[in-house]
Amino acid sequence: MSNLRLINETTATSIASISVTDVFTTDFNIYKIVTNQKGISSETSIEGRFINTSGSIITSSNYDYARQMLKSFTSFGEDRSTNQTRFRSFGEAGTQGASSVSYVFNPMDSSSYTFFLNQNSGSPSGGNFNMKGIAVLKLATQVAGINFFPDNGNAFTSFDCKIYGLRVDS
Amino acid sequence: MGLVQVATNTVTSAVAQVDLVGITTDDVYMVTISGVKLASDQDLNFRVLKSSSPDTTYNYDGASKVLRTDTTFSNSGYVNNDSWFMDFIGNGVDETGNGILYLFNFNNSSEYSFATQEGVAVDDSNPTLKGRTGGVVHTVASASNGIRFFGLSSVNISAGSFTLYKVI
Repeated sequence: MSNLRLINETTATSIASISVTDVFTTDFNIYKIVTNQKGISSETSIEGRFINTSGSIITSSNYDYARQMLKSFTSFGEDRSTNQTRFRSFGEAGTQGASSVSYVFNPMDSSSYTFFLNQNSGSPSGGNFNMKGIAVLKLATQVAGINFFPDNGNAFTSFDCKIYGLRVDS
Repeated sequence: MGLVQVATNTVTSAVAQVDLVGITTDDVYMVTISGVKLASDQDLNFRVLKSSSPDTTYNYDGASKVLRTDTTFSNSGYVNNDSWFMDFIGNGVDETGNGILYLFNFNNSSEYSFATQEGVAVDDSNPTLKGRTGGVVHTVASASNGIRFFGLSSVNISAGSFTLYKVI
């Protein structure tokens, strides 16, 4: 049996925010997240926030992130910020969508920050827009889920998310 | 994609290094590290193991982009080093290192060994979010059966989980 365990698959359409709750447990320390936005009503970045064990989205200004942006249509760029209310990004989505692969580290460890690694590829109107990014939630608290939302408040046309746990057998 | 666990090591008291051994095929292997703490602010580095012994010769090259929140991103390139750089890690309560490596050609005695690396950590008393994304190569055509993690300047590893998987 593979040590890469599919533990959640979420599909949604025509929705402005998607929450996957109670998916991170003490059974795993590392999670792999694969997202695929098949379309969005208006071009935007897909952002993220974590969800606590009570099911509430963590919106406090405790997110730091840094992302290298690789674009086919203009110069590469970088973006870094601290003490934000969300982290970015799961891709710069256009009508053709965007896809990403991410890892979340130690979300249920109440003595550790929650860390995040990501790479993604999107196709807004300008061309191919890719990112490699890192983020941290600077709260030593248990994180049980994740929330996805478009930066501009518009709706996902179609969204699919698979979350895997990386099992460690002692 | 599937993963088969080959080796794992969870550090609960300070150690000088962590070895992951068990690369015996030409498959791609994956290494995860999580919750790694060092005894003081320092780099976490890694090397290949040949017959379970570290190769400390100056044959390690790497190139990566360093993402960070405190200043402009930087390019990190090095040749003929005696190890590879993984993460910058602090020693504060909440400062840990995490990352993913994919290992290629480690078992092949006629090819160089390569790895891709993605890391994310908090270091320094600031604290600062930092991470590397890039790749490394061991410029020796030889077989390696594992990988060793250690803190630079003989700084001990005080916590963390390290796991080696075979990708199937």
